[in-house]
Amino acid sequence: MKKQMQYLSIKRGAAVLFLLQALFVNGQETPKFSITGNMGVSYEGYSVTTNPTTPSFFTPRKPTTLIRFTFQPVISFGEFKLPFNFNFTPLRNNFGSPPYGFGNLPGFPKQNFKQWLTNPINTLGLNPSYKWAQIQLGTQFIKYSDLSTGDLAIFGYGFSLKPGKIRLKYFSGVSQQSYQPFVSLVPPATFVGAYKRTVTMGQIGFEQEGKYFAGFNLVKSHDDAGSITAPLTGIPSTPKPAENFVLSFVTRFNTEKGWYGLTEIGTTISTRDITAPGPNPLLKNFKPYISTNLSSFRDHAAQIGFGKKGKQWDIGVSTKWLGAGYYTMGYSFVQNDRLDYTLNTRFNTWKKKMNVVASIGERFGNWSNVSGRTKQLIANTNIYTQFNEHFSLNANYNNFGFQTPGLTGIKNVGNDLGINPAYNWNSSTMSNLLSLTYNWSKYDETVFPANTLTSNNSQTALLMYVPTFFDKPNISTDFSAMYFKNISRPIMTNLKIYTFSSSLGYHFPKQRLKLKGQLQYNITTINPFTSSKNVMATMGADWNLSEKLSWNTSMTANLFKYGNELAPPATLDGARYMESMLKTALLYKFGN
Amino acid sequence: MNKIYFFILIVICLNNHSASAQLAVTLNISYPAPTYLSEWNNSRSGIVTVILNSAGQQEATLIKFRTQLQNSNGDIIATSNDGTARVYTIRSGATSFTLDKALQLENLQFVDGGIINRIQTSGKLPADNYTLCIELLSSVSGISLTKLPVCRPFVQINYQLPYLLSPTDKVWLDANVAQSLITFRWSSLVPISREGILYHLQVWEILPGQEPMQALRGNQPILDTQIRGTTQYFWRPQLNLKDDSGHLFIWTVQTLDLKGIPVPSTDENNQGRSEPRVFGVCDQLKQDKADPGEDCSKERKL
Repeated sequence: MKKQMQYLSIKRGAAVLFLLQALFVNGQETPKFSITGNMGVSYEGYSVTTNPTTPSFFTPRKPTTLIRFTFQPVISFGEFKLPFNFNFTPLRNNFGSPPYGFGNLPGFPKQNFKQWLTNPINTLGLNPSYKWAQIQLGTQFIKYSDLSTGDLAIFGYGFSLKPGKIRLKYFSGVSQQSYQPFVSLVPPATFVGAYKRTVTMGQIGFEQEGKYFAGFNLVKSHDDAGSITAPLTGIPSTPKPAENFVLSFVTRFNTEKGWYGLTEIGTTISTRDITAPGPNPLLKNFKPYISTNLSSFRDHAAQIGFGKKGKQWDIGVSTKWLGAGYYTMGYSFVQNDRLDYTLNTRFNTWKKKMNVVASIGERFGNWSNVSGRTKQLIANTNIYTQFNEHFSLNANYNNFGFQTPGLTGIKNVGNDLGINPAYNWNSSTMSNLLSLTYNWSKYDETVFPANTLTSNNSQTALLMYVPTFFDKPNISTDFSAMYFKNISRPIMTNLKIYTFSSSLGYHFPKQRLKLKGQLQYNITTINPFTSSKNVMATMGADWNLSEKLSWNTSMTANLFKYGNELAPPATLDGARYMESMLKTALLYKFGN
Repeated sequence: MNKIYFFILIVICLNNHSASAQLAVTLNISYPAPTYLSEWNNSRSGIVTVILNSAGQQEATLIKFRTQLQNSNGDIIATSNDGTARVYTIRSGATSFTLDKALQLENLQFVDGGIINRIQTSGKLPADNYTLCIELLSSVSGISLTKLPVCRPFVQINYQLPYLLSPTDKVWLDANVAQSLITFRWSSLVPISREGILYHLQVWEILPGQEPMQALRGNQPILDTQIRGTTQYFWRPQLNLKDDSGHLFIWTVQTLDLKGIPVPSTDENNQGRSEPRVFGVCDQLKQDKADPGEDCSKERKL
């Protein structure tokens, strides 16, 4: 009996060992569970003091306090992955979107939870995935294509499925939370409000990773007309609630021989005011996707680009046309009614010592109005030559011209030429790098028919010296001097800037600490005023507290003293301001 | 017999005088006319005022508008259909209508295929000079109640916002220069506004972990200044831009009229802002420019 028990015990022990070994072996092959990514918190403090305090002559250019939290771990368990993308702040500083900076007005309502969740400054996203299936939750930046949707942060839900060659995607969420209009009497200001905007999108297509893709995109965006209770109708007025539908077909390919290409055609139906009466006798409904009314219009767009890439060269051509009414809320800032084309090339020559990058293109605005088309030429060339291990030379030339047609209009012509030789040499104790950059720029603006010409002629020269000490490898430093001069005509204005700058860094390897500092002195003269002077000093430390935890801090003080350009009043003669900026961030890295 | 004809003529003249004294119409259209035809319903765009002087008569009068649109050559490009025109009620005194009632876009029959195409594709009339003529009809008899059509010329201007020229999109600037100076250039508003305009230049820093559009929509601009009379600005940042990771910025120009009202754009929420551009500042630039997005040796990418 005892022997039997011993036998069973040995047998069980062997089985457990076998299982553990199996797990161990499996664990060596593919880790079952892991966490990578990072998390942290950063703080930026800013303050400015002016002398005199009144009248006001300098506006703070940063928020007093900005705290941001980051939580971006990726939890993996076999083929299941759970990436977090949390990056948020409790503060509101929106200027390029509602409430356009008016949120700082006294009495302006604090942002509610929904507004905070969908505030463009905050990202709160989760993307769990298993093999080819991914669920998208929270804030997502989803780019389907250039003509459909791409640069919006949308808070919502959706999925992305990639079984085999099939691609199926869907997402729906809020890109803009509603804000009620707000009128302030002291100071006088009017915020016009914004409607809640919902975006729903889908994609179906076929893809072989790295080889080809072909698919349809559908995007429907809609403002909730009921989300503003009392829209403003005077001057300024609340934008009307709008609606937008996009359908596009996109293809991409890459071949093993280096050919690549992209095509996309798209159509949009846009309704500027969903409360406008209907039907529209000129534009039928496109149900079930969108119903039209008298404020609706429909237009098309297309883009095509292709080229070939070799080991030592690359050449490509691309063109894009957007009709006068092509509009997608997925790229709401994109300028329509235009046609542009570009030819790009890059190649190495002269025993691979010379690298040339060049492009030339033309852009036509107001394309739908043949007699009113604007024309813009853009040409860039950059030639870099590494003559030997000590000497290199970079030269670049940029030209652009913009012109409106007819006898009344405007013409802008810009020419920039830059040359940058760099020379390095070594001694037994140190190496030295000397770099000179010279840039000449001419910018003319002519307004017709008066032929008034405003001309700007600028020159920039930068001399930089970087020594490296072989016996003191923990020290890094550089010195630079910059000179800038611009002469404007016909109003004779001469702007001159002299800047002297030096940086110093020291690395303590044992303490895993890096200290750094920078000092910059700047003199600016604007004819006929006396010179302004500016001193900027920065000190900082990057400290790896442990293998996974780092702490970065920097402090900058910026003292600016004006000449007499702000006077009168006489009290502003020699006015000055002092900015103080503090940045500090703690970052913890998950995993190895 | 001649006396009888003379008497009848006097009566007709008196009747006409009486009719014209009963109804007066004024038509005002803003300069320039609203960019989109759908915005003619806004009272800021103009107004039609009908004054009915019917002493002793209190009953309502039912009217319709008859509309005609002419181009700069005086050619008729659209007329309304009297049979399907909407009926409005006016009473003694002044009655105001927004311009969309007079234009009656839903009831206009255009004769020019090019204009139909333009309205279908953009919701706007092509840029040109036009004349809007309206008559008031009795909805009962169909007879014109106005002696002559009331006509008012208007100007259709389709602005195109400035295009940002420099720094171009996705380019790296040398931090040793950019700490002291960055030059911004953009094309002008097209066509040039005869009233004058303001350019509102805004630059946002894209913080680590942010998308460019997120920074534009969510952050406070690091540069926020208004420029008049030129399309160039020298910015002296006075910022420490020689950090380890590199710095990214997004910039745009907002075009405003002299009252501070944004020039109309396709998306009203953009408030007249041009298509933005992104640039970076780095103190360790690669010289070969093999890939503009990778020109900076540091952590941040364009």
